Amino acid sequence: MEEAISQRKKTNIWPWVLIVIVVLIVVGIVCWKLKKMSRVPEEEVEIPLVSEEKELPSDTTEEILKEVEAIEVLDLEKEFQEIDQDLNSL
Amino acid sequence: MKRLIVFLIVGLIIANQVLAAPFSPKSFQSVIKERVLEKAKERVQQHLPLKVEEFRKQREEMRSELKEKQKQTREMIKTKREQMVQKIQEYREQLRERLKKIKNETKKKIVERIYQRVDDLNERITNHFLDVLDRLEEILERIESRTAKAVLHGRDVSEAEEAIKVAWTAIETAREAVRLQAEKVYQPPEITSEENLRIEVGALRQQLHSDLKAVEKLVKEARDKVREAAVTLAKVPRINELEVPEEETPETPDQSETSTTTEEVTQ
Repeated sequence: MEEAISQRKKTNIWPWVLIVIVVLIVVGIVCWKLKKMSRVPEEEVEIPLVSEEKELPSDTTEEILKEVEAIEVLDLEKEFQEIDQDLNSL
Repeated sequence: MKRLIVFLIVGLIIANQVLAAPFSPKSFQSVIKERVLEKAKERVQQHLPLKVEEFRKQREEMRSELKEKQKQTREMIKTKREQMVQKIQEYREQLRERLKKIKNETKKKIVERIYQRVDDLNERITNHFLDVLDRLEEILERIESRTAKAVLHGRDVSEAEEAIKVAWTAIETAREAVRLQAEKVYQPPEITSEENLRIEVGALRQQLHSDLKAVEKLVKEARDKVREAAVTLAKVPRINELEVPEEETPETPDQSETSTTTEEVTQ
């Protein structure tokens, strides 16, 4: 008899667990949506400010080619000089 | 009932992952989405005009996406290096142990200094390579901008478009190689005797040198590909005179301009 009652009590707990989970899901989704909504206006305000202030670099091919030619990659042999000097003193 | 709850929990986990996805950081390999050239082509295909201000905004978006991606690479390297601090410390300790065989204190110090320099040099050179690649990406964005303007005028710039695509891939390949190199931590050299010290430590120097040379080759290739894209675009007649059209985008390519292009290219 007692076993039957405890068994019934156990089965009665599950609907409550289910309700708690559903409530948590709903609260989670609401919080997430609220956070998302509060972010959007900040981003919208920032974009025009950037476009007003920033001067975009020239895109003429002369300028571009000049800049590509100006890019230098470090001379590795020179960079190894200090290590080589140390090695020679070993 | 239990099955229903298990089903709900699994559903909840999946839903959370789906909802959280837009906030997870983009992977390094992700393709640039805000491409001005693609957007200009879309507009031309749809016969829709593109305003000057809109074009400018698109360029800014592309540039900021590039900056974000560049920042991500550096952050990934920094995180990896921070995770390796313990390992680096262990390696230094290992070297000190190995150097106990050497009597000459000056030589011991030199070896320790070389080992430190190997790490410093790797960091400095890879940082420099990243700077070069950032610069190349910035230049490539400008090439794309100029190409997009030509597309809006109905010009055939397919060769330049192809060159741009190749350049993006070359930069991406080089960037990945630089990242892997920057995350490398070299093991201390094997120390057998004082006589062999130069050869043994020299092997470490050689390893770093050949690794950096391989990465340098990719960086230089990326620079060459960007140059090629610029040169290809510069061959298009009167390319620098083209700006975003004030009025509606032409529905068909400008025949007179296209014929001039073919003539001048043949010459």
